[in-house]
Amino acid sequence: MISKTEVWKEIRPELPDYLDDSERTDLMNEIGDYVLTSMLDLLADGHSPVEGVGDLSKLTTKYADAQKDGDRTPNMELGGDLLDSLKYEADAYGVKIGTWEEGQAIKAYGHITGFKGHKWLDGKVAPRKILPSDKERFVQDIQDGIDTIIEEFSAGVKDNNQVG
Amino acid sequence: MLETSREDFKKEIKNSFGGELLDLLEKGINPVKQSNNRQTEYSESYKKQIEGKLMFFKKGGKLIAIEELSKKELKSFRASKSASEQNAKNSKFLAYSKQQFKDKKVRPVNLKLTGALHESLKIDITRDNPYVEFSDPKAIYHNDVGVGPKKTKRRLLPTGSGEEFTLRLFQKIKNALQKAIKKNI
Repeated sequence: MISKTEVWKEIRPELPDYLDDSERTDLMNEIGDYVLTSMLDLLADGHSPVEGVGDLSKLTTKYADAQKDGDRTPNMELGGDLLDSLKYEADAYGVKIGTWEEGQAIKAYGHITGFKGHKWLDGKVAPRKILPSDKERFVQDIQDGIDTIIEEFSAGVKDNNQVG
Repeated sequence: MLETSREDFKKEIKNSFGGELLDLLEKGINPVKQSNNRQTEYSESYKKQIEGKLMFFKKGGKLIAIEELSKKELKSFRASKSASEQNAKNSKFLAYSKQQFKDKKVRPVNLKLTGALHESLKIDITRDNPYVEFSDPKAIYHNDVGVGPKKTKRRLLPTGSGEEFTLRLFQKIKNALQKAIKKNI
């Protein structure tokens, strides 16, 4: 969901049937923590967490000189409010990662779309994909990490069930 | 655990886990698993110091920010100094601030000024368990006591009951252990 009021990506992986709702929610929280940390790690270095995007577009020299001591790496961190607002919300069926703060969602929407519909920034600022859209995925490294978490968590529950 | 495995585990955990922990801290990412994955931002007064916009002076042996003075106190402070004295003091402070915070930015909140805190990271293995410590005296204030009037904590390590490292760090420990065991089978 990428709109001006909320920006989030939901992950709904297939999970083994033997996990109950409480275990599934625990697992989704683990995934949320992992994905958000990994996203922040990539963004800090100017990389997009979206598959196939690679590096985020460099900042213009003019902007970098004015705001970032000349550093053109787009780490999405000026005041830091946007990255601070990123959270995850988990339930037994999925986990959503994004921002639900109105002031920050519009900022995220602007960056992702290249300020589509903005009076004077539309078409003038390079889009920077900080979160996948409905049709996009997280980078393979994050996807692999999610698969490992599910595999290990499920194996642990299975072992415990067998012992019990 | 075999002695050789223990040594390999120690080496591996220092490189992979230690490197990852410092990398997350450098980026302002909270290494402790909790709802807030980012370190709490610096206080407004500290941000102003970093930007060289806040002046301090001594009052009763204590450093007081000029912004913290009441209007009356400010008036009396200004009256007690000539314009040239005030300018000299301002320039001296700004030069000091510029030097002290020359590589410091308001963001990310990386808990790094001189680098001593990050450099004090120690990783060892005691009784087959990894042991992680920041020996710099500032660490306990950032991590457990809290700093400033609001006692803001910025976490370095999980020290509270039930707290854990964020999953990415936990995986580094697990991978280091698996690697060391595999190598010595």
